[in-house]
Formats: sequence, C-alpha cells, structure tokens
Amino acid sequence: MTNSRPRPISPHLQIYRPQLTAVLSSLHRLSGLFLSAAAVGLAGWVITLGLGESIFASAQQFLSSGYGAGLIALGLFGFFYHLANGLRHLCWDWGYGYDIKNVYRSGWMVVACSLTAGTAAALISL
Amino acid sequence: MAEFRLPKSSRPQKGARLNSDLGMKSPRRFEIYRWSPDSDDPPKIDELYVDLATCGPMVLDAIIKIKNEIDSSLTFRRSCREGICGSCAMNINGVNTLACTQPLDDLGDVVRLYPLPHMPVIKDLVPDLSHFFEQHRSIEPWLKAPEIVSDTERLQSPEDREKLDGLYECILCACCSTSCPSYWWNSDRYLGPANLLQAYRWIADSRDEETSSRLESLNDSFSLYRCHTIMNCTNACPKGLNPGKAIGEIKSMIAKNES
Amino acid sequence: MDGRCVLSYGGDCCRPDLALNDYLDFDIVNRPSREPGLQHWRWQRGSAIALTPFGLWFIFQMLLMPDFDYQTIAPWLATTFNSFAMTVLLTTLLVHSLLGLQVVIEDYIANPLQRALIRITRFIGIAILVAAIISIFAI
Ligand code: HEM
Repeated sequence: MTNSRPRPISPHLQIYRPQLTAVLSSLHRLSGLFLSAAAVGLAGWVITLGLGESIFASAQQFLSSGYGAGLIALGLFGFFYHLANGLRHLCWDWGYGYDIKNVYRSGWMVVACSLTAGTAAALISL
Repeated sequence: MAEFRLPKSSRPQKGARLNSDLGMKSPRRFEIYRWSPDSDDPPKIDELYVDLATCGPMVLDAIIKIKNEIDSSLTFRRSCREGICGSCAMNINGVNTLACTQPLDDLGDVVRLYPLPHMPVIKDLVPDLSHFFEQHRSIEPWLKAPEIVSDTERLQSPEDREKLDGLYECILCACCSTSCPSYWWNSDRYLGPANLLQAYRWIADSRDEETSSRLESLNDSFSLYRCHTIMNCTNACPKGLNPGKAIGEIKSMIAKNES
Repeated sequence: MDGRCVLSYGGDCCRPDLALNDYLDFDIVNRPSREPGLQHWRWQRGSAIALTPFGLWFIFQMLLMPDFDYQTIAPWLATTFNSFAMTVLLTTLLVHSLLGLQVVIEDYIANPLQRALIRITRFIGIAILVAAIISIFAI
C-alpha cells in the first residue's frame, strides 16, 4: 500500500465561491498596495517642491494630465475604501461586529460609504 | 511561496460522463472531482445525473446513492450523517460544508463536489488532514492544571461554563481552515481558524491554569497573526460557530497579557 | 521512516520535508522561525489610527486648494503647522505602509527572498522619507 505517486493539491482559488468577506479583504490589500505606491508619489511630489519651481511645474503638468487625474481619482477611491474598511478592522479589533450578519452589514456599509466619498472627492478633484 | 495557480499535474481535466438522465423523474447534474493514486490519470471532473425523486434530501444521500448505483469506486468519508462527526466535509458549489447537512434543494441545477480546498488529495473527495490534526495536537488540547487541588471535581460556575459555548461544539471538520486563503498560502506555519478556535477553547476555560503560557506561545507572527480577519471561516462553519471572533479574542487577550 | 508520515495512509506525507521525528515534534512553541507578532499588529493599528485624521486633513487641504502652482503650494507647505503636519503624515504613512508591505511579503514570498524584500522596502522607504522631510524644511 505504499503508492508514491505524488498527491495533487485540491483546487482552491479556482473553485471557491467569491464571497463579500474575501472580496473586501482582497480589496483592502490591493488598496493598501496602491496607496503605498501613491505615498511614494506624494513624497516625490514634496521632493519636487524642494527642488524648485520648474521641476515642480513639470510634476504638476503630469498630475493635471489625463493619466494624472485618473491616478488621483483611483487613489481617492482607494483611500476612502481603505479608510472605511480599516475602521471596520479596528471595530473588530475592539471586539465588535464579528457576527456574520454584522460582517455583511458593515461590509456593504463600507462599499456604500467609500463609493460615495470616493465619487464626491474624485469629482471635486477634477 | 504562495502559489495562486495549481501545479500543472493538479489541474483537473474533463472527465467521463458516467450515465444519462434518460428516464429520470427529477434529474440533477453532478460534477465531481476524481483522482486515484492507482491510475496515472490527472485529476478529472466526472459528470453524472442523480434522480432526486428516488434520493434522500441531503448531498450525502446523493453521494451514497452514486456509490451504490452508479460508480462504486467513488471515495469519500462519512460516518454519522447528522453533522456531528465532521467526516463528510467537502467543497459543495464553491463553499465548504458538511455533505450530510447540506440540503440538495438549496443548491442550483448543478452540484459541484470538490475535496476541501488546497489540501493534498488521498483519493477523490478525501483530503489528507494529518497536518491539520498535527497542528491540533500542537495547541495542547487538554486541560492543563498541574496542581491537584482536592480529590473532588474541578468546579466551574455556570457563567464560566457559558464562556465555552460556541467553542466546545467544534467538530474539527476543517471546513473553516480550508476556506481561509491565509491558510491556503501558509498552512505550514499558520495554525488556521479551526485550531485557533480550539486553542481559545482552552484559553477561555476557567479551570485551565496555563492561560498565560498558552497566550505567549501563540504570540507568533505566523501561528496566529497570519489571520487578516477575512472571515471566510465564520461564513463556512457548518455548526454556526465563529472562529474569526475566537481569533480576535486571542489577539486582544495577548495584547492585555503582554502589557 | 524517512519522510514518511505514519498518519497519512501510507502515501507520501503532506510535509515530505519533515522526517517522522520532526513531525511528531511539531510544536508551536519551538518553531525555528518564531517571532512575536503582537508589536507589529499594535503598530499597524496605532499608525492606522494616526493616519485617519492626517490623511483626511491632507485630502481636504488638496481638494480645497485654489491653485496648484508653485506660488500657492510652496507658501502653503512652509507654514509651521502645515510643515509639521506633513512631516507627521509622511512618517506615519511610512510606518503603516512598511508594516503592511511586510505582511504582504511574508504572506506570499518565501525566505530568503522574503527577508531581502522587506529590507529593501524599508531602505527605500526611509530614504524617500528623509529626502521628503529635508525638502519640506528646505522650502
Ligand atoms: C493612506 C495611506 C495608507 C496606506 C499606504 C496604507 C497601506 C496599508 C497596507 C499596505 C496594508 C497591508 C495590507 C494587508 O495586510 O492586506 C494596510 C493594512 C491596514 N490598514 Fe492601511 N494604509 C493607509 C491608510 C489607512 C488608514 C487611514 C487606515 C484607518 C483606519 C488604515 C487601516 C489599516 C488596517 C487596520 C490594516 C490592517 C489590516 C489587516 O490586519 O489585515 N490604513 N494598510
């Protein structure tokens, strides 16, 4: 009975039903990664300020282009999503909201709040 | 290293059509993951029909019917058929649960059966749980109270006993742990929701005298803190328990214990 | 018994890298890579709490900014309050995102690359932060 044929790994991501729980968690991670890149951008922006007017002006030129505006809008959505879901994390850490009913309720609230705040901020930024 | 894709040899191929729905009153299509150590085939997905008109109400009833009437080589674990032994845990239509308590009526037109996710497969729907149980052993799931205080029972107030509700009911079916992406990527070192709930069951026990050292041994960046509160675990638990919450309790107890 | 797990029905062990003895010694206390996780977790939460007001402050300031030319932005950042707030924001941002990146790297990437990447992110992050802070006070 010693069959040494290597065992397969059972399917996981490929077959697990996407659920609000895991989807919002992945979005928290993705937004965190995007915001980290944005933070480097923010520091770079501050550095160009220190480097003088002309360099700052070219940074500003990029930011006011279509690409720049798109990245800023994405960053705003990302920030408000990560903020809202981050507060949800802090509530959990404080011991609140672990019932699956509340997990779903707070999850949809995070979606609604971040879409609203993100849209408003993105519109103002344009 | 986390592998998001399956290794090539683990990817299921299209399998056989084992019967037809001809003459069935109430046919339901099943797609079932198959793999056998005794053949050279890669994993495959077999298709077949079960007549629900002559079948019991639960997924396990259908699986037993398939084994009896259609393919006797179909391999799965089952024992109590009432949600107390945890043997028939599997992935049903994308969600981990117990086949014996999952009504067929709540599922769609197709019933897809896979072994518990991201586990080494022994055969068909039977995953190798030895590492999972080894991790269970590592949390020392027994009452640790070295001093014998008297020769009577260790008494517990009704309030203290209540703290174990929602914990002692865990049947170690592994539905929660194998629904957890963090456990998928790091099960070698992350204990996973089931075993952390089990650990908390002893931490929360008023009679246990090793609370502090239990907490200390869990203060490890991998054993415990790979939990990112994804909450797939609580969503999956077929017993309605809340491993996510139990892990949160451990984290805040460690924070208090160490301050 | 080399690498064979007695518990696993005679097939290959699910952890073939462990010999039977190691397997039975599997122990959350004596794990070779044991590293406390509480501090990291605490700093992640603490920096998140700090980032909430400072992040919102910065975004509102930017949304309300009438113009984005040098003559507007440089004096804005040069005020005592704004330059200190910006320094605090960038510093907490660095702490929070370095801790966050560390978790992501630990989740997905194995050693030794894991340790190397964490060091690289720290090095780059701190270098950028220092440059940015010098910049703020140079204006
Ligand atoms: C704006 C800049 C921010 C950046 C660059 C950032 C970045 C990150 C990153 C990279 C992670 C790790 C992601 C992961 O482990 O999946 C993370 C986690 C986290 N962030 Fe942020 N974040 C920011 C703002 C915030 C704010 C304002 C909050 C407020 C509540 C917050 C709360 C959290 C929490 C609670 C976690 C831990 C999540 C967990 O345990 O899995 N973050 N952040």
